[in-house]
Amino acid sequence: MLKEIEISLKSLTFWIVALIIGGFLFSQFSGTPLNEPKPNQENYGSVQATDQETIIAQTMRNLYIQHEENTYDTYPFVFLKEVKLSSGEQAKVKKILEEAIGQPLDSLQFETMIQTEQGYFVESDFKLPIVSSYDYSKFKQDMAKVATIIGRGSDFEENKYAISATKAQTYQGAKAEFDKIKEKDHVVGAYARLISDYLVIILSLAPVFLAATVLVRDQRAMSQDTIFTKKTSTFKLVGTRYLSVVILMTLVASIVAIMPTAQSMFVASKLGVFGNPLIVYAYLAVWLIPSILAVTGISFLITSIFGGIVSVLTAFVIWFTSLNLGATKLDGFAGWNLIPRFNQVGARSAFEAMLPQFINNRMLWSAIGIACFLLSVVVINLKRKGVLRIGKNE
Amino acid sequence: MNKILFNFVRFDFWYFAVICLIVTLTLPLFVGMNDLSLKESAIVMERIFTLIGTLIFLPLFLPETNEATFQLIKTKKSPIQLLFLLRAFLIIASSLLLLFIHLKMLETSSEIDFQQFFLIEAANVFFLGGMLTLGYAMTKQVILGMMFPIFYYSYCLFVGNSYQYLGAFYLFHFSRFDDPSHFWLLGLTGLLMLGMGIYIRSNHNSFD
Repeated sequence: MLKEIEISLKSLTFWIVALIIGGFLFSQFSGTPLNEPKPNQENYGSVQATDQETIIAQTMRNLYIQHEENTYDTYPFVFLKEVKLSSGEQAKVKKILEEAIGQPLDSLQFETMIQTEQGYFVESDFKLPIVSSYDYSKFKQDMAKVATIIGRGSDFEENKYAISATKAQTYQGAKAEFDKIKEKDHVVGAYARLISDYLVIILSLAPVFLAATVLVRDQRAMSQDTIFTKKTSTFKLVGTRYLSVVILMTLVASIVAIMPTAQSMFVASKLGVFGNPLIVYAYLAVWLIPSILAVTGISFLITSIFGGIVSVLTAFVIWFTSLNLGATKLDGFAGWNLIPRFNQVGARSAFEAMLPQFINNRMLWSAIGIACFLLSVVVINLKRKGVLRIGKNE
Repeated sequence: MNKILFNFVRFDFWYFAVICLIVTLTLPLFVGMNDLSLKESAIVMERIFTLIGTLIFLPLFLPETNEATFQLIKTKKSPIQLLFLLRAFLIIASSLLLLFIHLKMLETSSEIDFQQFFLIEAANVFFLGGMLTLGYAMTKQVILGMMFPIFYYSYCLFVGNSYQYLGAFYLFHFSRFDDPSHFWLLGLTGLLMLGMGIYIRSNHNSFD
């Protein structure tokens, strides 16, 4: 194991990867201040709303705006695609809106749209007058119809609108959140989530380069046949390499996190709290190691079957897709995404709400990584026995 | 020389070309390409096609990954530089053809400025392709070579408002509606890196 780590430490690939991880974190992380909320502030930010009334009101308002402009935002795969509906489809959406407000849509238009030099905009505090008989089950049915009309990836799919409604945070809410960050997060935890958010982006891609080169190293040195004749078991042979990549990537993440951890400890001390750095490292371990295990495992499996090029390309496609699928909910979303996002400082309650989902996510990707690694052992063992003859020299 | 070039197409280049062509043709299944505004078309082109265009540069040195093959080809009468240049020409022509197909597909249902899009995107593809070639030549490792354009592309995705510091070398100028008039610098740098890569690989210099 130590020998494997030593070999990787001497490789150019490792140092380039390490530099890129460090550079990425420093280019993204800035010491966002964490201020105690004061009474009578202009605003205290916003929080996710979970009550059905707010979800209906905000989703219908969004539908109204997109209908008026006949420009519906969708994310069919990766990028924003603005859909324009035909007049027949627009009429169907209009009917749904009119049923919800119990009056013709045209009667609302001039009261709600304000004209500026740039064009027409809906007033920021505008609310559609939803009739009281319009309940959540009817709303869900209507949104399913709208989602079908617009097409895949619109704002009117249940998994989108159910988590998109927000409400203004109150002073009491903001104060309670701040106290929680001081007491439970010791302040540094609030920053740890942001540090983890940045690092998981780069660590969901970077390990593939080290993993792929580690595995093709013997082929390049033309020593594969010699190594295959050794008594050492394939599990030990591949396992030590797998672990060495995971350990090295974790080590790099731990080292580059020292500076932002120190910054967050400084903020904590200014707020009269001792920011225990172990909190940051606990977050990093839980957040990052599953992604490293997964990317390394998948890379080992694909490299052992198809070679390093396919492995890198596959890892990039998984990374790119995960990144873009998570891009619509940067301030806290795990789902089953390889890259769970939490791009904000603080908001412990929001993190607690997504915690069960987050834990399942991390367990899934750890399991995928280990399963892929075990499969790669099987593949390499078959190659070693001469049963399989696949893969290219790279 | 003809035979070596023919073997390059037969054993290494064709499947990259076919994969790139299939991805280009099937792109509308994954990414919205209808009714796009000028900016949205530029986003699809700069963020997606750039990757496809760069991928086709991968096979340039692939046949000689094995050192013994490299030494064998060096013993041939025709200079290896010429072989690499012919391959590079084939790759550049293919990438431009793919770009032409991509833009024609975009043009049928979305708003684009064909000429401007073509020139800007060709510059992007040459730049990342050149970076891939130079990285590959310097390290003699295809995986390391791939690392440079992938991380540069990723850096451009995350650079945010600091993109201005990258000047002409920022990859997504056009989709930000910035002045992309310096695209020629990006393209020329790419071709220069491509030439340097071929020179280094031909002369067998590397960081090995």
